[in-house]
Amino acid sequence: MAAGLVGCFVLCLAVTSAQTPPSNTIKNFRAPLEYFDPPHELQMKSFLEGAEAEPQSDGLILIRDAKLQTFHENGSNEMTVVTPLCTFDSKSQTVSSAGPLQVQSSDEKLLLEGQGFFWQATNSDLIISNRVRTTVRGPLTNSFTP
Amino acid sequence: MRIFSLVCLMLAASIAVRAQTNTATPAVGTNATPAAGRSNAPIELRPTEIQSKSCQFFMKSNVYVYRDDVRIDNPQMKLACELLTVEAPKLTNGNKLNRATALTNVVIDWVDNNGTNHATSDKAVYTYVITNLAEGLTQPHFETSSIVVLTGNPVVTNHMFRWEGDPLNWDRIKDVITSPNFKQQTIYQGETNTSSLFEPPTSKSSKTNSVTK
Repeated sequence: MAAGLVGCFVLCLAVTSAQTPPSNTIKNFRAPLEYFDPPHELQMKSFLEGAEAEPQSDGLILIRDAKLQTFHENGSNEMTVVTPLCTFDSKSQTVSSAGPLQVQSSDEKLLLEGQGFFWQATNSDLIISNRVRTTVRGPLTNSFTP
Repeated sequence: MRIFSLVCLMLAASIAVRAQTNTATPAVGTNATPAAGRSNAPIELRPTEIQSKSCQFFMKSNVYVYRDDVRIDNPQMKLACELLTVEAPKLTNGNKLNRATALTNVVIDWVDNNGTNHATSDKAVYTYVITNLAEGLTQPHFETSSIVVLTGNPVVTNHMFRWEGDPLNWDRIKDVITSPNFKQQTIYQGETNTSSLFEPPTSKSSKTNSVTK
């Protein structure tokens, strides 16, 4: 009997957690992180979006199904970082995660995969902590430009 | 009742697992590339894979640093080292500079007309440069150089030779290895008449002097 009650409780909990997001969840999170210097000051340099975002304490935002994009000065896409879960620090303008990520350049010549990363918007530095795998497409000698 | 409890537990577990699986699915997983070398494309067009424990990308300067157990896998060449720095600054007028510096326990294997070549050294610097020699003129004239310099007790071996010298300079376009400081050369018996990757001994000294000074 007790096991049955526990089972029902776990079932309800799982269904509830799967269906009802927390009350402070933001859907379709979108945030420009940085713009270019003049004369391209209206052009976004990096842009972060996610299916869901949960504000945490101290300016941290937990983002699910996140996509981080960087752009060239002419507005064209430079690269796209995709990760199932990451934390955006709005104070320091950094994005980090202990989970997996995939990075793809706009020309699809470069694909990066790894586990755990840290991205700094101010200087466009990306650190991948573990199990980095880079795939470079095209001739080795004249396209070795990750 | 016991059966009902078990069913409830199984349902709960399956829903929980499903929820976890959904959150962990990479969004671009379907775009995953096939492993290097599996493609039917020509060898020179097949993808190159670089694996390492960690890396740091400096996007502004186009500098990429791979650390710990670094391995490059290309159909034409394999390289292993502990630290690999790739520099690819953005240049104008068609000029191009790519430099890859491999440090610590460098091992390179590559295949050419002579078969498999094996090189070891403490450091290897690969520089690929395209220079417009007619800059400012209407018709550009590009010159390409592609050179690997091995330093730190470099040794290159294949089925014909074993060469030691510091540095060893490998011109990839001419497919010739030279050195201003040859230490030892071993020619394996019965292989001396075959075409060589290395500079002929007669022209070696003059050529290396002009290259290095």
